[in-house]
Amino acid sequence: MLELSLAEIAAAIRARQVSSLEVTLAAIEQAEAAQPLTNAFVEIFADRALDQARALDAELRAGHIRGPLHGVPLAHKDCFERAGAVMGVGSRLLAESAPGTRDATALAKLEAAGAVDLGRLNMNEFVAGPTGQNPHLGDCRNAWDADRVSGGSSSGSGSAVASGAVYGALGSDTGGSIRLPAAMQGLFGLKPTYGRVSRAGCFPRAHSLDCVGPMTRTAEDAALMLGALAGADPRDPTSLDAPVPDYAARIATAAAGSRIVTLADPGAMEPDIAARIEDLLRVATELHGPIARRAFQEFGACDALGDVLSKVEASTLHGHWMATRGGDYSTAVHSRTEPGLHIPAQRYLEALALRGRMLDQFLATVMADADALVCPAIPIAVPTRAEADMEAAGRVFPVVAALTSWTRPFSYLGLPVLTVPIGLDRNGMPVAAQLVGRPFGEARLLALGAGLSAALGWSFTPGLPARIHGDAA
Amino acid sequence: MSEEITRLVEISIRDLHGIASRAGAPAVAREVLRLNTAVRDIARPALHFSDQPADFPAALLRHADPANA
Repeated sequence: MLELSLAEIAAAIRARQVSSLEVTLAAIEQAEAAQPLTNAFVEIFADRALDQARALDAELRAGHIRGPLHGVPLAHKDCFERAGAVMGVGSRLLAESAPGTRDATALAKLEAAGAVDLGRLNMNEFVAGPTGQNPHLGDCRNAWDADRVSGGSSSGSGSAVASGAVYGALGSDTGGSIRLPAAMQGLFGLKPTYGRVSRAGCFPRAHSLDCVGPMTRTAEDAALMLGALAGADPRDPTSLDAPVPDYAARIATAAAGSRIVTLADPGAMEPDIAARIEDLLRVATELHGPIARRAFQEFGACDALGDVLSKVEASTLHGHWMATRGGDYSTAVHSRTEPGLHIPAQRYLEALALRGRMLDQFLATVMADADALVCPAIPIAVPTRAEADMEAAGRVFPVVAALTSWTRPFSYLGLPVLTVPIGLDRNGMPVAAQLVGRPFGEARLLALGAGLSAALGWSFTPGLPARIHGDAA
Repeated sequence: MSEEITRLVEISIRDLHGIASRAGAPAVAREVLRLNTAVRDIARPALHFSDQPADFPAALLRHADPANA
């Protein structure tokens, strides 16, 4: 039953074909079996999850369904506050911190929709890093090939979902931290529009960029989770008050009439990645008509503008700890954060002040008369852990640049982005594209992603290792 | 130029922030210089006196995809 999608297992639980307790027991068993290979979990809440599952089964027997996630086990990146549990944020600094006193809004909303919380997931230290490397907790490894990086910083979220331990997971994304592990492990990863999902109780990297979103094996599953998560929150003043549609109900229809564009100069990509992107563009043309190729001249500028916001805000957050407990940081995170201490305040404020204008310009040019932009998620094949070792001297800046060059510009623009699995690279590892939408265009992106991946024959079996099947194999 | 920036970063690390660098001042200086130049060059000709950070969330709402309604 762990091979079923979130939508399928939720329907089976509602129909009482299987109990939440049975599903949760199987999930715990899989999580424990996968742990030596993936190191995806920091803590498995076995007793607590089983108690939750029993209570949800009792509610169901009494005729009460909490919501679309009733009885489904999920687990989440360890950067969300939980009442009664430690939030370690992948760090040595917070590993022994006091248990939380309240739940992050995102977790509270998932619980209200009926989800079971299976545990805290591994991640890059302090939500910073594209690889899943963590010298404090041990590296999180890719469920498809443990010698390759999982992607980060929501690394455990990717590996737990791809290995079949849970049906979905929350990640957080500042410059690609949902999209990269989703892309590297064959998942749908949704970085929502900035302000679409509350960040209250989520440990930040950069307040101006951070987004919370789902990572799942199907687009429909991401739609179900987003439906539970989206909406304004009084606890997060940056959350925005925009309508929340029924994303799952619209997945069959919201792509109709969509106009797609791609970039005229997509930059350097490895040949097998470029071939998969061309496959996608061919299928997209068949489904949605001709695809215009547009120039995005400010691509590099948006990358730098976002990087300045990220580095300055992170250095502000970490400055005190870096001064008093600098040795407790990994080399990679300490090194990446240092430049933010020295960037002039004027550059930071320019990046903030220009953001609305840059968004206007992007939508009026690159996205003129278009609803979605297709581009790569990562321009290179999933690297081995040795190739992407960020703790080695002088490696952190080039590794980060190589993996995040396609993700960070869209974080600066605050736009919704869905990673869609589209095939395999030369090593048999997943390749993904990004679908970039207009603000609050998540319903359309999820519908487009579902249709495009299906047309490419994408389908995979979670497990150890995860394996593709179907037409794309 | 880069040596002067490196020296500036060394002083800033020590005297303004009280932090022991792990990346080393030359690497940090290169990154600071790269980002400073990129943002300065895009911002100076583009920034209008009326541009402000609050424009951004307003623009997100103004440009919302009608599929979201």
